[in-house]
Amino acid sequence: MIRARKLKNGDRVGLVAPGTRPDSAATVAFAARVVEEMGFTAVTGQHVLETHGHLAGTDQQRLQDLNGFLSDPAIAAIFCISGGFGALPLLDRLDYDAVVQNPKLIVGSDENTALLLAVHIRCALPVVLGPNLDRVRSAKSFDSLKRCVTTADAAVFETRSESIGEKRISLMYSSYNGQAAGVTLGGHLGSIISLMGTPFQPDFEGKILCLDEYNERYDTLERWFTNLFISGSLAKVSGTAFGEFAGCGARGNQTVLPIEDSFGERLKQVRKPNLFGFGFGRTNVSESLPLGVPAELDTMRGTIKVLHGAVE
Amino acid sequence: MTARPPIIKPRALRKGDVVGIVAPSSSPFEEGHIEFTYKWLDSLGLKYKLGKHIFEIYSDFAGRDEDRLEDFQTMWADPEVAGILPLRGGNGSVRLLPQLDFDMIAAKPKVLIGFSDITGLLISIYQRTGLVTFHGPSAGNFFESAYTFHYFRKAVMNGGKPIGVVVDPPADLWKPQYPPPRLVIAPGRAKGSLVGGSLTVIKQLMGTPYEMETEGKIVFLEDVGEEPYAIDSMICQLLLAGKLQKCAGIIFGESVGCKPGSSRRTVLPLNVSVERILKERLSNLGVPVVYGLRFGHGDRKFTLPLGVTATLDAGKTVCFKIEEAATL
Repeated sequence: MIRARKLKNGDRVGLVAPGTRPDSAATVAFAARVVEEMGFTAVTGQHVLETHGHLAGTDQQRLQDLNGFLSDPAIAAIFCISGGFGALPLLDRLDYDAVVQNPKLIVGSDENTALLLAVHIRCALPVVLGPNLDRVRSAKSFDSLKRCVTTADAAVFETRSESIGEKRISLMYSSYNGQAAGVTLGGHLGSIISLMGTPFQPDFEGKILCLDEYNERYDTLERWFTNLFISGSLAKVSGTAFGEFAGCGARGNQTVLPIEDSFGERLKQVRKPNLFGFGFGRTNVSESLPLGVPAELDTMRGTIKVLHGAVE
Repeated sequence: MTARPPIIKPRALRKGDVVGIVAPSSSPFEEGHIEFTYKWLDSLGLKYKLGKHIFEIYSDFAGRDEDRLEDFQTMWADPEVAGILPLRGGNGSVRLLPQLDFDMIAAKPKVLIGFSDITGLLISIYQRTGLVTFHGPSAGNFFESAYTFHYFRKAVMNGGKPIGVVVDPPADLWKPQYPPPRLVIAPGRAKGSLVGGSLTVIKQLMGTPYEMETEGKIVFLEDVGEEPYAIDSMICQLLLAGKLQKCAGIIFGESVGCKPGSSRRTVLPLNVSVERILKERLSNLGVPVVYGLRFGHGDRKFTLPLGVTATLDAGKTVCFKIEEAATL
């Protein structure tokens, strides 16, 4: 396994939009300031404000930004500015050799999961499932992301809790308790399913699968989770952790069970430790989680302990 | 590629036959919908049996997996039943596949017709058993238009004759529906057996033992209520998996509710049409690609049999002919 070097003050960070165009020019300016505020130097990709339909430029333009940064030794890491569909058609033309020769950290979430996993799978390089920069909107998100890219130390991720007066009551839920150890794998569920049947289909064996989604219908989420079962992937994982599913719900007024029930029932059936309630995903307070690193899931304590960071 | 069994054709339905009504996916929206179905079955001279669990509701399924599976298999095993008519799609058919008794199904060939979520059964049964299955109306809506009804009869109640040249429904001169039924994305000629269905369900089958096989085939795809970027994503996955580069031709259906902003998904401020996506992704594959044919989720749909030979000739005009008989 190779690892990217941890970032230090003044390091140059390449900003890309592999998928949907950032909301506006102001969003790109904000993203650069977030990176500068962390002490790094922001280098914004040439094409991030291009438009090609909803995409930030043509496949060729987005690829040029990505491969340009991947092969530039002066760029220490690549952060995504925004999410949305668009990384998928680039995967077969990414410069993976450049990554292997010159490992650098890649940070993103939402549909950029496809990019993270492709790089992780092809290059055996840990990556960071961290908010796209347009979502870094709280001290919690900012600090979590900065910590994740600047330290190789072990870290413990806790499930969320509700503060009621002086009390803190955990929001975690498990349909099958237990402890699981394995390398973290995951991200946006729909994007992981987009890799199934392709040369970038992840190897689920022994992994701690960490899933999140955004604005998706429960019936669609159930469909994708069924893919993981039918493809034999769930039987292979050691445990499953669920992050944020912000904006997810029923389609119209349709009768449908929430994912804690539908996914939970399936995981109970296959006897896999699982835990809902983690803080990675796509809200204003999302945390950053290293993918491709050894970790332990403990459903009684409500924690994922990452034994080593994504960086060296 | 796994060796696939030889094609088996079911006997065409005829007057006096009994059909089995089941709900392997979601339940009927309301029980009252089925009253219309009974009447139309009567008018076709078909008798019917109902699955035991079709009115049950569990999450968005018509009952638990065991119950839906039991209904489906009991009906299929019943020697008196000549055809299986799922009431509707929705969600849930793929959940049944690991438990489905494909040997029993192969031993008792009969007509299976449906669309949308039923794609999970159509593709897996066709690939596992060689049985020709039918992408056409569900029992809950085969009476929705004269066009649908016409092709339902032509496909499964036509005494073993081929469907032949597919003709579009009559166009309303003053309010034509976009897309036009025969928009040529890439010209060319193709001949191959048919396979396809709902793009979302085809995505759901990727990476599983039931993944759609496309080499040398005419692939038909359609969806409903998806934003163009979601369609783009699913097409890109099929391309990344090499599923469209070696097919004989592609027919992309009408796909109602897939215009920018007409789904219930996040609508992007910048957008693009399905037509442009198809041109960008599929026009350089070297196979003919046609967009707009009326099958799938529209009110007017023709029936496509999986596993029978068809020809597609896309030039100044488009000719799509299902030249091989789908039934005995």
